[in-house]
Amino acid sequence: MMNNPYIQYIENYIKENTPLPFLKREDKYQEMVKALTDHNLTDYIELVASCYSLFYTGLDYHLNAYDNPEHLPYAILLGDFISSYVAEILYKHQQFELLKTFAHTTKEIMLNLLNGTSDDNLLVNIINTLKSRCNNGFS
Amino acid sequence: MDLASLCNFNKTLLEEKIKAIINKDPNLPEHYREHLSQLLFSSGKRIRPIFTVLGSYFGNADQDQVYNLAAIFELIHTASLIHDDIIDKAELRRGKPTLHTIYGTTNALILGDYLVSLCCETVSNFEFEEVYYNDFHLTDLCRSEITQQRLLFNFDITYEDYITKTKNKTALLIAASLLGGAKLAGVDEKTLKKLYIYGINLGISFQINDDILDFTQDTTHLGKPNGADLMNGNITLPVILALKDKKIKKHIRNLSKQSPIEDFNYCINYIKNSKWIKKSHRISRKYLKKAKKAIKGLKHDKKALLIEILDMLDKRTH
Repeated sequence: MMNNPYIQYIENYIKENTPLPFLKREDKYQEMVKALTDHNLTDYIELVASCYSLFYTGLDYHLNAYDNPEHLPYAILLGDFISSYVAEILYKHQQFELLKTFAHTTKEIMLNLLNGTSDDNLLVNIINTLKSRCNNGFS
Repeated sequence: MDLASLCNFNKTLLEEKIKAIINKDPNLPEHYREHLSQLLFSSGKRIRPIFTVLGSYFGNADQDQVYNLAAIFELIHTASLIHDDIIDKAELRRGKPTLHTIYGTTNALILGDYLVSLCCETVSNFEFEEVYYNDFHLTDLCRSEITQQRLLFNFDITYEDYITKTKNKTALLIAASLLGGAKLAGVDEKTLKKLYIYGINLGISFQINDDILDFTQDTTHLGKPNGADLMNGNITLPVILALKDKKIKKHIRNLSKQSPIEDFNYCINYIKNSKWIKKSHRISRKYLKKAKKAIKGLKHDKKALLIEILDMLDKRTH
């Protein structure tokens, strides 16, 4: 994860521009690496595992914002910055199906949080999107 | 005449499109939908959707699709307002209680996030990726807000810093809205470039005017006290210019988060009645002229409308 350029960019940005620590989600990164490896989808590791991990980093800033009133504005803006960064790199790589999956599933995650539940299908939905793409003959 | 009427903008159609997007999700609890609707259908200026529709006039587009894109731009703007209100600790937005005062900080943040994801999902559903993500970089907007946060009460901010921040914070979104509509309408690259430069310069002028109005507009119209930007530590153009003024610069530089309200009011009243407001107007006008210059070679019957908008913004009082 340390060598991942997308995660490194965010980590450096936070270090240079905000007083907040980088909320690293190594667990999520490794969870996605394992799932991609198990399904022989290793071509996508660098991009997909970073987007997956960064989504939870951004969400953590928002879920923890209230607990740190001194730096609340930074926590809010960083959460927004990271989630838009994820969309932006998926677009730059022309990963439109993944963009759709991320948008739909993260929306469901937010709805679940608003409804007080913690259901989360992001990993499953990403893997299914990539698998269906491979089955359709796209690489 | 207002901007919407000048551009023959169909407010009803925009509201139908917004409703269609926020009503399609059966799992969103009704009370959240109701409060989102209140925020979305109160008296916003609809600047970004108007520019999306305006852009479409330079080609041939299915107006139904144009208004779908315009609705997305309005929704993403609304999501940013929900988060801004938390940062600014605002209790009212367009006369209604802000969402964080109703649901608390975390739920309001998540509701804003929900709206962003909903927008991105709608972009995918309508296959608007190329017209939305290519020119509209939310990361630039966020970077600019983070920089603004870092520079609060920093009186060494330069004119150039201010213009860069203004471009990223306001002008890029206006230019992206204009370009989005134009791209949907199949406008050629040369015209797109002209419209983009027009949008950026108009957007900078628009924000400078907003920053002037923060000092000069009557508080009833403004909905907040005069000089609220300065009180929050946000250094805008009239302040940057006033920092050259021997009579007030010490007073301004002494301001901090902890300063008594009287110290702020002294500086705000001085700036409000100073030549720096006129000077700010002149700079704003300079950007309107740049916008006009950008479309000089444009041959289209709607070019006159672009010029009329510049004239209208020049006379803007609220």
